[in-house]
Amino acid sequence: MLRTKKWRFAILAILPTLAIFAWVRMFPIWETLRLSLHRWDILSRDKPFIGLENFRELFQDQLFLNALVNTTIIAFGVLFVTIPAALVIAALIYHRTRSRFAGFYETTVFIPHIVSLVPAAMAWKWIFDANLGPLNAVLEFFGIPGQAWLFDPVLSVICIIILCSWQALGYAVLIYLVGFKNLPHTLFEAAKLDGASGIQRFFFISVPLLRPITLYVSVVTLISGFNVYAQAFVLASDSQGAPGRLVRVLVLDMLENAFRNYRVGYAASEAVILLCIVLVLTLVQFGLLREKWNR
Amino acid sequence: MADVQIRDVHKAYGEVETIKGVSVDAPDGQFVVLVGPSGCGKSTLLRMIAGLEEIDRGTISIGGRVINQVEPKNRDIAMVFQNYALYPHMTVAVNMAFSLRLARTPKAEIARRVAEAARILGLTEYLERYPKQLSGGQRQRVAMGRAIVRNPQVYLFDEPLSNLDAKLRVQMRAELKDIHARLKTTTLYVTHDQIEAMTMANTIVVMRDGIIEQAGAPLELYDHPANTFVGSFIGSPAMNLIEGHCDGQNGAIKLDGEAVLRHGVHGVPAGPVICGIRPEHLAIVDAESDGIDVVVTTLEPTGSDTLVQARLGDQIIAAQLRERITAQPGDTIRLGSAPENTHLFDAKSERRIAASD
Amino acid sequence: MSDADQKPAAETVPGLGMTARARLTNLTIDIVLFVFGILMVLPLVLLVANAFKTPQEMVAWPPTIIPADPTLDNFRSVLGETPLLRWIWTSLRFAFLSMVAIVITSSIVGYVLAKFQFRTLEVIFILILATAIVPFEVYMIPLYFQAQSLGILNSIWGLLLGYLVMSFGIFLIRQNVKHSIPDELLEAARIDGAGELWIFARIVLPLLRGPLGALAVLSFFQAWTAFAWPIIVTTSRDAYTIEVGLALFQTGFTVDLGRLSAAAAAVLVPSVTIFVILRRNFVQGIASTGVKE
Repeated sequence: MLRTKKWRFAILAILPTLAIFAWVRMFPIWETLRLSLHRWDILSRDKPFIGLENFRELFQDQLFLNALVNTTIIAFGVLFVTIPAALVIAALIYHRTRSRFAGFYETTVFIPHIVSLVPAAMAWKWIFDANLGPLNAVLEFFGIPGQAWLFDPVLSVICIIILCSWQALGYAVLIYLVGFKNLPHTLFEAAKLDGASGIQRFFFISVPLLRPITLYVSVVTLISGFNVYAQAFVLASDSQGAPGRLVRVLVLDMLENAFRNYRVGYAASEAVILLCIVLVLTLVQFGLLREKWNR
Repeated sequence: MADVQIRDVHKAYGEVETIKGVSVDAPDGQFVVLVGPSGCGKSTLLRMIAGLEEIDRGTISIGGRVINQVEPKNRDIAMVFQNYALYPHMTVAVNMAFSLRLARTPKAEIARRVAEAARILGLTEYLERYPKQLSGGQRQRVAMGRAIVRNPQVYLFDEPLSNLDAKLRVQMRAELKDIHARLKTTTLYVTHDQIEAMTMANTIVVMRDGIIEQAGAPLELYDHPANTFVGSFIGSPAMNLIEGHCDGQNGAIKLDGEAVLRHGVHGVPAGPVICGIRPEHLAIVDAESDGIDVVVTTLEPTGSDTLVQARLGDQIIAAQLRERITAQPGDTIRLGSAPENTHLFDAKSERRIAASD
Repeated sequence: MSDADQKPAAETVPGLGMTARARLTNLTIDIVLFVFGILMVLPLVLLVANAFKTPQEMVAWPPTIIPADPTLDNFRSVLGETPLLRWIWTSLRFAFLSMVAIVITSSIVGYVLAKFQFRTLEVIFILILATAIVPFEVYMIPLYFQAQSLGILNSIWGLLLGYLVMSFGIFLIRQNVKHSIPDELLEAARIDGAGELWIFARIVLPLLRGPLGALAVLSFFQAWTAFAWPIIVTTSRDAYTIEVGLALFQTGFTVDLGRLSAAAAAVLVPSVTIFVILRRNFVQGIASTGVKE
């Protein structure tokens, strides 16, 4: 009687959300998977099943391969900048938790993570600007010739990495801070009594103990790196001014295929590749975490 | 006012049967304590009476009405939980009034009942406080008050005192007993603490592994445990259980063929038995008397008593002696007990053997 | 989590006092963090400063942080050229509706998944968990065609379609219910005669104020800063969200820096202000993303 009543409530309560969930989440995911195996050019009526043909074509598509390489470089670039920096900054902030400025440190580091992508990217676009930007002005002050940051394919990738790292840092610092606060505090005292200096405590205690957190933050950073879009869209216009064309990233390539070239099936197969990358990263994370537990 | 009858109740979670046919009678106005080690099914049984768990088989009735299919709120019961389950965002008064409000009791009536319960429990000054502003004992009282205002036919308590510290527990035990004496409402009380059971109950129901081992008045359980489990569960320190052998010819209980623990036992078949002797029933006896020779390992004089731990072979024997003794660890002493205090259990079934002297 | 109940690693031996060296170390760290913090927000500060500068001052070196001759010309001309306020209004409505939808769906489903033990619910939970790792970008193209067939492109409902539910919100609430609401509380209420809906509304929701606040803030900002979905769903200038509007506005060759900065500042200043005010909620919400089961 009670159980039946609870069951009825649970199902009725969950049903509307579940319906929405199926409608805006599960169905489109399923559609992505399905379309990736079909040729569908918006204009044509029929959508023939073509197996893995889309994927075969993708791996001969220079634009796609270029996007894949760029996105991978950006994702890993952001990772290698963000993680060490975040760990150090978090350790310093944690060390100064009792300082009256602790709130200020946390806030300033975190603000870039929450501000809207586009205005923030616009600020950086100005900084990188070849003629008006402060970056070149600073470089020239030190006698280094200014660069056309946003018009060089290699330099603009670096610019995107800087912008993305600037944004990702706050999140990583915050998660690390939670990790630091959960570390057994007696451990640090014991290490102190053992004569470990602050830097030694950081390398021999904090870093190894925070490994699960590093793993988690790394995967989150990588996944969001692979989904980079707005930053490239704003920063890297090509010489005709078309946004995002200079540094092709996966999402941009996908959207162009879908909405400019009307090749929806082809775009869906790109989405599937993006999904596979994310899945592999997630599985690696779980695999490494489990390995750690089993030791 | 009503009695509670539990008839052959069964409960299984998947393959695991946690209640294996239990029948309990709680007569009107009685204080019945369900006691047993954790996992024995006592809490499940209580939750079945409350209506929080389904009954697979058997019936539970309150005041003669079978309530298997009745919703919790219509069973006319009130329950006090171990962690009190006070609504943290409501004041004491609102917590206590909650069920009455839900039942659309008139406002004046609610106020009267809350005030009355607060008076009984000494909570009048705390009515406007929130649970987190109260001490453990006060929270416990609020939980009681929430039950009292409903004026139910049956109170159900699920380990209500186990979150309190030792001193407060003793005090609340007395208060609960006092409240029951005043209200005279049928009460079922679950605990794993046999002292709570002994001090509060009219009837104790000892459970283990989903069945009832013994039910009866506290002293009856103490004096005549039905089996070794009840024997060792009721009473503290726990009863010593010593393996022995009954000599069929002259009715002697022997240990290792040598020491004679008790003479003149009749009606007990020859063979292995278990002797149960409570530590407080052991005393030092002289060499001629029946008894066991044990080697003292530790002595703990408490002033009123001397607690002795001693070895008999590889078994530890505990004794609570009234007198102060001169023996030292390593010394051998002889302990014996009166025949009526030496309980005999069948070695295989562990059930009590009724011996006639 | 408050800072006060967490002892930091340093200075934990009371009564011993700090050595001069330790004090010097702390001072150095403070300076490093201070400079670093300033550098982190400097791009934004300069952007806002630029918004108030005249064209002459804009190109001056070194850049000034407080404009010598502040002007509102940039704002005036942006407002004349673009429907900036309309974009902001669209974004506000979109973010607000998305927040409402996410808070409602997450709280109900999170509670049910936390406190009701049924096989079916376990399956549903696993389903939600499995789809949670799929990034939005992966399925937004089919979702676009769903919006198209409903005829809600270029409308707030089209925007909303992608932001009605949030798997993370469901997990957040489920975790909080599991940890902070004991079963006995609900059972006591059931014995007291409360119905299931009543229990949810009067006992569960009031006790979830903290996490619900965090979720509200997170979901609002998630929609407010959304980019990829709005840019494909909205194609007419009047329907843009502020993010899309800005991104497309800044690609114009004729637009000068002052007006760009003014437009960007108009978006940045309110959202940073709100963040600083709601910082605690944010931190609580974001921090809980890292706390895995």
